[in-house]
Order: sequence, then structure tokens, then C-alpha cells
Amino acid sequence: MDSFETISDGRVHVHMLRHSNYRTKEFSIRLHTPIRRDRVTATALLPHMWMNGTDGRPSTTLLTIAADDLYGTLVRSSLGKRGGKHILQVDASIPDVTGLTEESVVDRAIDLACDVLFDHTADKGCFSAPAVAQEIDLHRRRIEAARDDKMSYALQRCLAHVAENTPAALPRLGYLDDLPQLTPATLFDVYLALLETSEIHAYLVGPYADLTETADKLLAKLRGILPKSQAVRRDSPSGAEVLPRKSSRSFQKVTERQDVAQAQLDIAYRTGIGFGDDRYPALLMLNGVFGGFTHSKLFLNVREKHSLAYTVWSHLDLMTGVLAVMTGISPDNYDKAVDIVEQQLEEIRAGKISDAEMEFTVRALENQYTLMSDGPAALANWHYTGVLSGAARDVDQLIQDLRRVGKDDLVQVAQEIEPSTIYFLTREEGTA
Amino acid sequence: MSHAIPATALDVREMTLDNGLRVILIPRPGFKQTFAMFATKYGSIDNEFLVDGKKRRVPDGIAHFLEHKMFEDEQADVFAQFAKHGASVNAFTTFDQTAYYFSSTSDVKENLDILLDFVQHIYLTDENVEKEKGIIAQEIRMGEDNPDQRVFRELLSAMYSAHPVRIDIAGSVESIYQITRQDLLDCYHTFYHPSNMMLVMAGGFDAAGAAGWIQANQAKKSFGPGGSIDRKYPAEPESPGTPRHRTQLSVAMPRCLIGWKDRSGEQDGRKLLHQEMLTGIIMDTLFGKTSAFYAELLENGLIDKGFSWEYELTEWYGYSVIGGNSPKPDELVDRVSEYTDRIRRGGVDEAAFERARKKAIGRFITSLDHVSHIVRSCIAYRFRGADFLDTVAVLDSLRIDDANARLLEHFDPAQMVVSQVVDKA
Repeated sequence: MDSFETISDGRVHVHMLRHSNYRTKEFSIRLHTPIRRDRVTATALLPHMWMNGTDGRPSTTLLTIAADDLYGTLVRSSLGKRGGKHILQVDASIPDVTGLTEESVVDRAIDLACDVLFDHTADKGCFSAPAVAQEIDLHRRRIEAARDDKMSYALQRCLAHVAENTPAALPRLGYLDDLPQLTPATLFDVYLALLETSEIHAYLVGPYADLTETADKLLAKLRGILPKSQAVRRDSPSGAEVLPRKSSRSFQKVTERQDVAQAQLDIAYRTGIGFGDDRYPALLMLNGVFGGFTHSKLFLNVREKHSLAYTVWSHLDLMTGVLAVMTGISPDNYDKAVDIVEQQLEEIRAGKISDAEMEFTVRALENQYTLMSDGPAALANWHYTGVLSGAARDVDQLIQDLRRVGKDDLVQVAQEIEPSTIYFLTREEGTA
Repeated sequence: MSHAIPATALDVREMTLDNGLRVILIPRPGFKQTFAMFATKYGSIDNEFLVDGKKRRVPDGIAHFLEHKMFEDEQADVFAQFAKHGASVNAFTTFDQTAYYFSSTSDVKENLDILLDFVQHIYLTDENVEKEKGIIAQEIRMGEDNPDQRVFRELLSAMYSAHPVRIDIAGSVESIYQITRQDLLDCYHTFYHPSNMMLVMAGGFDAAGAAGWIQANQAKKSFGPGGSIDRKYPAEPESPGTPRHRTQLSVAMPRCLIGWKDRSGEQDGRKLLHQEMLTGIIMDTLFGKTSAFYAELLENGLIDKGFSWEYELTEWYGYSVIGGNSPKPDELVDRVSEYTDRIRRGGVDEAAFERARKKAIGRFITSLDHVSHIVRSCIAYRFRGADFLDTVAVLDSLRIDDANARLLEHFDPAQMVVSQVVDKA
């Protein structure tokens, strides 16, 4: 696979990759910051606020009109969470309109995206009192609405229990209770601190005509904008966020009740293995054989054999090393489902893994990773995962490593995996 | 059979096989992925049809049930067959089509054979039909707890009083328990003939090779003559069934959708594409993120940033929808009514209309980077008689006068329907 070329100046990094098969030029700027209880909610608001207006274009309408005028360049901000880090991101997808127009769409689109992130002063644009009040109200509703997606709500609750007392347990969107205390001034302070202390990674991927020139200009621009004096807190080293195993042999059980027709059952394990670990390829294989695909043990047993669920997957969090099984079942089938899930892991621990299961999983993973090279955003994400976890992985090398994983390696990883939490979101008692 | 379109520069190769199967190949050199979809023009609305001259009404949700059962095979698990060749496979059912697809980065020939073979072979036993009911029941329950799905489904049920688009694609837990092996077989033999189906591929494969593999695969099978399918739909009144509908569910945030029902569908493909693009541009102008109305609703706390619009048009029906989360769903409805009345009198803003057109062209270009999107769009429009690669030409042809005429026709207060999901408590 082609690899990124990087130019850096202090804490600013521009990663570029030419990808000439594409009609879209992707541009992305990402900042990451450790999640802290005292500012989790304020940080979560920022990316949403940025789109409410800059100094130059002081409303969402004016910002969006500018983007639409660039042939519908999609400019958006987003808030991500990986383990105990918040990721604040602004992206632009720029259509390649070469031949349709002489306009310099690329430069203007990059400027616009940079403005979304940087063109703010206190009390103006998105930091004006009315804009802040509106966004706080929207954020309250955002937090409330997140409860309505039962499947992701359940997974988030489950992972919070697994990661108890660590930054990874803090919710991505923050807390309702914090909202009344937020003011334009406190939010602006958190924003400034973010710009002063974060490492900044920008990505340029796609059919850019003058990629190097665009990257050089961008780096100079970012250096010019950013406050220079502050020392940057470096990221925590590789694997630091992986939740350690605690030699526990049993699950903590958490039940929450809501008015639901279908119950959500999430079963989580601590693996102690993160993205940079030598055993990571074996863990990926284990997750695949266990519940990652339609040929997996969970899919075949929970769904196909026992008809207990429509959805059943296992999910691997590569920052914390948590392996979680997610399934939606009828509330009465709790015991049966837990038994069947546990049995499947027991099978792996006992080495009951067929050659076909190994082969299908390798091929499926290989397919997944090869597919990434068709997607500029996926390539940037992969690279960024390496940045966040402090352990860059080459995709081709990972595919080689996966091919070398043997059944014994899976058995060993499976035996070391520890039960952590069974989370059950079910109907209110006494309802049928 | 090959023609290139300069504005989009896609190489499209098309052929119809002797058995009636339409094949469209769209090679994208340099892509690792190949995405192939095998689809039948048969969806949840096709629940009444003639078999041997006799009218047959089958239980609701059967097209979707059949989609699940196609993955069963007496010899080998279908998922496993694809897994062996590194492909991921899935399927979906809509109101008017059922589609099976794989994505792979290797072994395209093998995967293509598996796709064609598993969809063109049915294996049903009373036991495997019964077993599926539990799984589908859980899928239906999952949808019942999802307020976004519920509010949309209830909107269509309120809008249509007779046409089966009012029924959930998966049917109900009650209806799927009535489904028998014979029902499934009748549907399969009626709707899965190659002449009612289409195979479309896009991605990094060799077009000449793929065409040969498909022909060889199909030449080995015989299907008998493919007659024209006689679907029966009840007569649907022009006006909405129930103008206002409210569902109670346990939700943190109410949902509110407002829709307008077209008086009819559109059977001419080119006209369909024109009406769809025109209505889409109008809706983006009226309700999109650059509209003053969107900003006003947001400022007044009536919507959040998930507020969106969509328009759907088929040969049988057409409707538009706007909405999303709303803490004050009734006030939202009042504002929208006032606004559409006002706009109908004043007309569409010309600058906004031009901007929306430019944006639609850019978004179309961007969409060509996703081979799965190319394939899905190609099939969805072809089944409705249209060519999605005409999109840019159609967008170019739209005129403001057409927009104003369409505005009056479509956003008629008499055609408006409201669906809300509010908290039980």
C-alpha cells in the first residue's frame, strides 16, 4: 500500500497521500486531547459550535452558503472519542470539478475548513452569547436523544462500567449536569487551551494537482495561525490506555430498566491487548472467529442455531483492549444467551477452532484491510489510529502478520481474556 | 455495447442475456474493491399478484422473509462460501426491490458464481421456514423500539390508505408467523426469473472477463420462459388517508415528520428523474441548511441539526418528507404550514436555486467514488426506468419556472401529512 508522506513543524503535522483514482479531494484537520471530567462537556460542545459561524462568516447559513458555492464541498466538524481521548475534527470533501470550471475550488475549500476551526474570537460568531445559548440547548437534546439508540447506548454504558474510574469511562458527549455552568467565556477558555496544547494532524488525500505545494502552504498557514509559545503536552505513549487485566474470574452484572420491547445484552471482557501489542493480530483473529463475521461462532450459534437474536457481534476497542459482545434479545432469554456466548469463548479456549474458521477469518480481515486503500477517509483514519496509539502499523505488514497467526495463538489469547461486565438493558419489571 | 459519458467519465457496459437478465458492468480501474449486486424488482409492496391466472394475496413481509431464506442452502452455508473467497455478503429489501450483494478484493469470478448460484437456487423446508420466524421477530422488535423508524413508518401508514407502501417492509410479528413454505415458493418462482432481475458490478475488475463469466454461469441453467408479472395494487385515493398521526413510545426526544403526498407516481423514467431532481433542489432551497427557515427553526429551538428532507418517487407513488427531532412538534408543524403557504405565493429564490443545483452536481461527482453507491443508484433507477448517469444532464436542464410550478403542485396543504412520536409518560 502507498504510504503517507509527512511534513512537520513542531506540533503541527501535515500528512499527504496522492490518490488519483478518486474524484474527491479529502481534507481533514484533527486535534486530540485527553478527556478530563472538569472539561469533558465543554470540549464536546466545541466542534458543534464551530459550524455556527466564524468571525468572517458569522452564521451557519453564511458558512454553508460558502461551502455550497464550492460545488457543494462538504465541510463538517465532528467529535470523536477513542479510549480516553476526545478527537475534534474538521473535514472537507472537495469534488474534483476540473473541466467543469476554472475556479480554484481547492484553496478556497481548505481556507474555509481552516476558518471553521480557527477563525474565532471571544464573544463573536459562534462564541456570541445567543449562539452559545442555542448550542447548549441543542447539546442537552443531543445527550437526551443518544439514549434512544438502544444498541449504542447499551454498548456505551457497558464500556463505561468496564473502564470505571479511567478517562475512557467518561461519555463522549459529556454530562447534562454540566450544561448550566457553561458560559461563552468558559467555553472560549477551553477552546484556547485546546489550540495551545494539542498536537495537530492535517490530512490531504486524493487527486490533488499540486500535492506538495498544497501541503507546504497548509503547514505554513497552520504555523502562522497557532499560538507558538506554549509547550505541548505530548501524547501518552503506546498502550498506556489499555485497561489492565485484574485477575478477575467473574463478571460484574449491571441491569438497567427502560420501556423497551427488545432487551440489549452486552458482555465485555478485558484483553489487556492494544493496537501496538505483538499479540494484536492474534486478538483480531480471535474477535473474528468469535463474533466478527457471519461465519463466526456467535452468529452461527446465537442467531442461526438458536434464533435468539437478529443482531449479534463482538466488538474490539483497540484503544482500551476491551472485547464486547453486543446482542438484542427477547428479555426472557437472558440466561440462555449468556450461556451460549460464554460457551463459544470456552470453545476457543479449548482449541475447538476449525481450519475453515481460521481461513475465513483471515480472508475476511484481509478483505477489510485491502478495502481501506479505496477510501481516502479510511486511509487517514488508519494512519491516525497509529498516531493516537503511538504504534504505527503498516496495513500490508498487518495482513502478513494475520496470516501467520495460528490456532495456538488464539487459544493463548482467549485463555488470558478476563470477564469484566455483563450489562443488560431490559424492560421494566412487571411488564410483558 | 459500450459508451462513455464525458461529464462523469464512467465506462458503462450493458447487455441483456438470452434468459432476459440485464447486466451492467462499470469498471473503475485502480480500485481494489469489486462490488456486485444481483437484484429483483420485487419488494414489500408486491403482496398481491396473479399465479396461473389466479389472484394470490400473500402475508405481509414475505419479500423480506424470502431474502433471509435465500441464504439457506442444503449443501453449504452461503456465508461460508463467500467467506472462503474473502468476500463479505449481505442483502436488503425495500418497498420495490430485493438485492443481494458482495464486496471483495479478490476471487471475483468465484464470488460472482456464488452470488448467481445462491440467489438462483432455493432450498426451503418447513423446519427452516419456522426457524427464521424467531430471528425476523427480533428484527421487527428492534425497529419498534427505534423512534426514527417508527415515525417514518407511521407517516406512510397515515399517508396511504390502501397502497401497500403503508405496511412495514418486514411485515408484523403476526403476519410473518402466517408465512408458509408454499407462499415463499410461489413468490420466488414469480419474481426471481432472470427477466425480472438485474446484475450490476462496479470496481476494479476486468469487464471482458466478467461478462464472459456471467454468460457462462447463466448458460448452464434453464429457467423456462419469463412471462410478464401481473402485480395487483389496490386503488389509492389522491388525498392522504389520515392527515395527522401520533404514536406514543418511550422516548427522550419527540420526533416529528411532515410529508406531502404526490397525487400519482411517474411511469416515464426520464420524467421521473426530472421530477425527482427538481423536487430535491426545491426542498434543499426551502429546508436545507442554507435556508433562512432552517436557521429560524434552529434559533427557536424547534429542531436540531439532524433536521433533514428527502423525496421518493416511483412509478406507483411519490412523497416528500422533512423533519427529525423536535421538542415542540406541534409548533414545528404550524411553522412549516405557514412557511410553505408563504413560499407558494412568493416562489423559489433564484440564487438559492442555482446554488442548490451546483451543490447537487458536486455531490453527484463525489458519489462516484463509492462503487457501492454507483451500483445501488444504477439499479434503483433502472428498475424505475431511469438512468442515474443522466443526473448531471437533468440537473443542468432544470429551470426556475419549472420549480415554481412544481412548488405549487407538490406543497399543497391538502396533501400534507404529519407523523409524531411522543413520550408515553
